[in-house]
Amino acid sequence: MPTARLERWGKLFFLLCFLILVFNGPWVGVNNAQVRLQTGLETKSILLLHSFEGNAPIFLETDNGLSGRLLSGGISRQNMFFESLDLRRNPGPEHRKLLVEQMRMRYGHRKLDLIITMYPEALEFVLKDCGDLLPGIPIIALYLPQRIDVPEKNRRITAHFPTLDIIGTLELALKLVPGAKRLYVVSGAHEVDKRVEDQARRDLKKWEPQLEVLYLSHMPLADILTAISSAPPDSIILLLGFSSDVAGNNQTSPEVAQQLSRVSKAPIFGILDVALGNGIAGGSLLSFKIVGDQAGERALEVLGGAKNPEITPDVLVVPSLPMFDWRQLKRWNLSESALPEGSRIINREFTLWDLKYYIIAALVFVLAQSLLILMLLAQKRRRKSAEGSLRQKTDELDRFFSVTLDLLCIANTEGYFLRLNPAWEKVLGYSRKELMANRFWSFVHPDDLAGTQEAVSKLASQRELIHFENRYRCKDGTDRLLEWTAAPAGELIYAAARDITERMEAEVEDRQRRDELAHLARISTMGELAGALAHEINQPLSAIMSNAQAAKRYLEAPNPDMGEVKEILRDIVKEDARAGEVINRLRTLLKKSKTELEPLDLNSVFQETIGLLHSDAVIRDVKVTTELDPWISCVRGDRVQLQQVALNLILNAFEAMNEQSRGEKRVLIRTWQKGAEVLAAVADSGGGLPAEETEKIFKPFYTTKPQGLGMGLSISRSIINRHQGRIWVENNPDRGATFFMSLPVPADEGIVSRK
Amino acid sequence: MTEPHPTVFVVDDDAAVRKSLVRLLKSAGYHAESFASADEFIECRKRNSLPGCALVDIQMPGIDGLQLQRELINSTHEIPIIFITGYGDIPSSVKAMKAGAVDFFSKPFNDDDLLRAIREAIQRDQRERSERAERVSLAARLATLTPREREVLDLVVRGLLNKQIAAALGASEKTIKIHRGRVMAKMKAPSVADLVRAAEKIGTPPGSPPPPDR
Repeated sequence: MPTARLERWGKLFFLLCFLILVFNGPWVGVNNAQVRLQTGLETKSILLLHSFEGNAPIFLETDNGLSGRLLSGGISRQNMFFESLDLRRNPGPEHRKLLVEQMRMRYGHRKLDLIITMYPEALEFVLKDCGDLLPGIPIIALYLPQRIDVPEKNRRITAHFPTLDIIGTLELALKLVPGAKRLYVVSGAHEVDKRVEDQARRDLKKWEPQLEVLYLSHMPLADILTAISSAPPDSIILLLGFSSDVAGNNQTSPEVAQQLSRVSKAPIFGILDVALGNGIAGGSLLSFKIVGDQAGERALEVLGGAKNPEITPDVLVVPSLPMFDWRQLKRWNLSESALPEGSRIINREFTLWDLKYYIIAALVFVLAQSLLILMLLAQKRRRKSAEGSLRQKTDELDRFFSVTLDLLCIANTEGYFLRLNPAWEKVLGYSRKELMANRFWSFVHPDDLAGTQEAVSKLASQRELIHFENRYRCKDGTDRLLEWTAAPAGELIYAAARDITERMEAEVEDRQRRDELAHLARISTMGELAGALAHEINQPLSAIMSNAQAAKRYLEAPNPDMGEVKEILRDIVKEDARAGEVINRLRTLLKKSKTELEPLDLNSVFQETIGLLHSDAVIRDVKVTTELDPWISCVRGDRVQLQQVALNLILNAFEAMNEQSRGEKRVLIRTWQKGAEVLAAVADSGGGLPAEETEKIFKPFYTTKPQGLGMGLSISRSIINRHQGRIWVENNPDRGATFFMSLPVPADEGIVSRK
Repeated sequence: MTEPHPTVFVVDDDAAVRKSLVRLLKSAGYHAESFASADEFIECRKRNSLPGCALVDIQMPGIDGLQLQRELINSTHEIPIIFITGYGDIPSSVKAMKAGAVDFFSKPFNDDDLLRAIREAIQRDQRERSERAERVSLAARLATLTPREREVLDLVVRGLLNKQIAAALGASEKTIKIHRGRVMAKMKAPSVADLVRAAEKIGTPPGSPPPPDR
């Protein structure tokens, strides 16, 4: 499956990313750990003394390199003391005295392990002014002029004589600016600056023939800048040291370099790295930071107990390095290829090629990251689509929940609705809030309450679908009949109800209409039978009349036979009852009655009907015979309606034989039982039916009789259908047809004998 | 009269009606017998044709009243019939009356009317029975005549004179006179008028067509 493979790749990818992170972290950590190699130096104290103001770039840079190295060597920052003697701005003896006092106060009680001095003034101060205050403590003396005498007794002194590579710088400058005609040497007028300029005058001697060298230290800075601004482009500007100009304004080399750079039309070279980045193109530069770094290293050696070296004095040599400013090279269009190997270049603006490994690494990283992101996106999208389809399904269900006409609900077995669909509001008129505020059986019709609670308890105890019906009372007081299907799920009941009120009303109405139709059909049949029925009533009436008249005559006789009279009266009563029975049957048949199912004997139904039709049979000269099985089971039915069916079948049989001659009209009525069915058959000896009419005759308004409505059999069929029975007709093998009807025996009905 | 007491024969398929009618008739002093069907009554009549009348319900299973009437008319057991019906339809009553019914009653009926009709029927029966008896004796007398005497009787009844008869029969007037005297004696007719009346009563005597070629 592609999805599964994708997921496997995804896992691999995550593992890779994790590994990258794991291995990246420790690299940083390893670097940090490497620094802490030397131990036991935490307690060593070092004093750093600047001869002049502490914020001079040379000191800042040196301190920077120095403290970096010392800290990484294990010297505590707490134990590094920086003091600026500020002897340039305060040359008087008073200040010196105060300085000594200050030193005494600050370091008299402290044990110092090493003193690092910068410039000879500080070394002199330590040795001469603080000789008894700070005795015997080893010294590393930085930035000493070549000619100074370094005392060799009493303590270890490591001397550093900075080498200013003026020759190297000029050589480089000439390589970069090959056709240079003029060399402008910019230098301060301070003693320190002078020392450097002296060296320059010596070193530059050899280029005098080819180069016009102009020294500008005799001018104030402003004039120097003017001079430089008018220097032709094929010149070389060489910046040496610049502590203060001839006017006595203190300066720093970087500031001067910046100002030069702003006005110069020719490239500027220097000998100190503090000027690099401030406008000079470069040169063979002395880096104060490297000096500090190297001094720090030597200090750690001294503090670590390195033996006194054989050579004296102990010397620290820090060579100048070729260093350039990439931007300045570009500015002056100086060829990078002319630079010596190993040149340090700052401000390099890297080309893409220079960065190719970084770019490749970055690209790989970006690619990896993109891949990761893509994976995540894909995963998110998958989840989203899964969520989406789930949401869609939920939405669909919600929509169905909202639009269905059925009442849907989730309720608990406590009797509260938890969720209802909008159909509830429509059907019952209550808001959902109202419905959910009360137990649901408070909305149930009181008569249906017991049944509903039984259904709920059934749901609570068993986990199957149940069906029931009940009535709910609407807000307007009317009742709705609901048909329920409900299933339990834990403490919840999921139920759907259908409002079947209208359907039931329609059914009732339909039943009423059918009852009415059946009634009309009965009335119509009775009308046809009026003559025969009159005869049926006339017989007992006539008997009564004759009996009564006979009685009267007996009573008028001189010796009435009272026994005879009594018998007559008994017969009168009997005949009256007989007439009454006929009338009752008529009334029953003519009555407009609702369908009422009761257990009844189909034999009695036929017997009563035959009794009613006796006269008609006589008038029509039809011989009616019966074979009624007395052992048939009771059926459930409406007596009047089944009599109506019997009446129809028998009358149809009579009428089917209208064409037959006298004495040939016979009707046989039979009943019997077959399994769970009770059957009745009415057979006539008429002409039978054409085969194609055996079904048609049950259709409404189908008639073969000139005066018939064509409703009799259709109504009979609808009656029998309502009794779950069947009615049909078959032609007899010899002559005539037989109408059959069958009715189901209810499951709990036994066999009853004929009454 | 040697005639037995007249009987009213009640024919009705309805037992109660039958019983009540018999009772009514008895209360009025009649002798009554009842039959549940026409068949039963016909059987009875075949055995003996007692005098009286019949009270018959028109609507009966099997042979109905009108059929019974027809059968009785066509038999030697004729008896006056009074019809009763619970289903008084005019066509039936017309048919019944035309066929010689004494009366036709719709149930329920007035006892006086019925009894009057019964009386009338019995009288008619008596009359008819005596007429019938006379006819029987005349027929018996007729049967004693020789064929020649039958021819003479026939012509006498037609009103021919002796001379004409003699001419018709090709005999002498004297011979005819003797035949005529014998006929009168055999037929026990005191006068020619009586002889004519007797001949009328028995109808056209059988086997007395005019001679074909004389």
